[in-house]
Amino acid sequence: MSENPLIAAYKKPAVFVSLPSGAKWYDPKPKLSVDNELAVYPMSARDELLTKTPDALFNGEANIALLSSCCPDIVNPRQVPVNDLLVLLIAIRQATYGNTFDVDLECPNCKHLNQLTIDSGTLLSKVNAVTADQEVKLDRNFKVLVRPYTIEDRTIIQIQNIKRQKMIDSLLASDADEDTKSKMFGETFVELATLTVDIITNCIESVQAPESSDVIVDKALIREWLQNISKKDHDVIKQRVEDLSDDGLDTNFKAKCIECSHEWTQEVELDMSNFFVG
Amino acid sequence: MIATSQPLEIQEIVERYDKQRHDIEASYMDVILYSGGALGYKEIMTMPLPSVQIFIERMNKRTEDMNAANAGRNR
Repeated sequence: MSENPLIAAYKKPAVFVSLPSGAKWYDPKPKLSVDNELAVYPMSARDELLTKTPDALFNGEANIALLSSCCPDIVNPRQVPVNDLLVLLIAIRQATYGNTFDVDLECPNCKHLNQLTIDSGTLLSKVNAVTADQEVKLDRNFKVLVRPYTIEDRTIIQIQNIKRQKMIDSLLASDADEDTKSKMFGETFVELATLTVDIITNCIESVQAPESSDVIVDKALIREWLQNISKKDHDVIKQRVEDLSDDGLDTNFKAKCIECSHEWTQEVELDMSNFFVG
Repeated sequence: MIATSQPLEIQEIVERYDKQRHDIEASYMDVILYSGGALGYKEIMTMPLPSVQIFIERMNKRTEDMNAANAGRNR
């Protein structure tokens, strides 16, 4: 549905938010306010329906469409670093429904289902900029410049994990002989390893060999190099990408059961499923 | 959530989301019907949700005012 340009022009931002990435790794950079915050607009009814569309949630298109609609200053939502995603979704939620939202928490002591009210304004005010260093120095003095996963990378990984799990479940349940099963397991894991190499290649901006002034940015060369390095070096690079991809949001909340007064701290998983309800 | 759930749970989640989507869309259809032509489908789909909320509040107030005025006239 094409949006009426008059309505689009009339929409006004409801929240301004600091990005954990500091708007780094965007191409082109989003337009920010003078205090380096991104304008976030409320959802439309169409956006709300998208947050309830399973296929769009599964393939990541719901996130992309929401960012296009509610963060129009981000030109290419598919390339948004994943460390900004949760902050942006919380800001969109706040711009649309207000500052608080409820999540259900089961008391670990008496199993009573409690409702915890979370203040998204407080959550967003505690956002920290990513502090991990982009440069990784490997043992043999290779200098590797990495960046966080994009939303697209993360979606591909999640879809692949589900496909792999489905494949394993159906193989375990099948009547195939052991040789066939083990061959198919092998193929599944090779596919996964290939995908991991592809995704990490995407996250490497450049590699500089020891005692060389040449900085390699060609993805084909980087991919080939990545397939030939040790597992230890690969893990170091992957871990740095993971560190850079962390949104830095503290989602641990203190809770007290209204039934038995038990107090505990619980990490709350925040995603579309539990906070995009009005 | 759907992306991180185990496959066996997915069917149940899909059904729940489909029902929620149907109910939400039905609510917007109600707003269109009760607005007496003030809003169309395309307009309501592209309006910011806080504005839809204000519209519903104003529409309800107008209906209450009209009902009160009618009740006064019939007394």
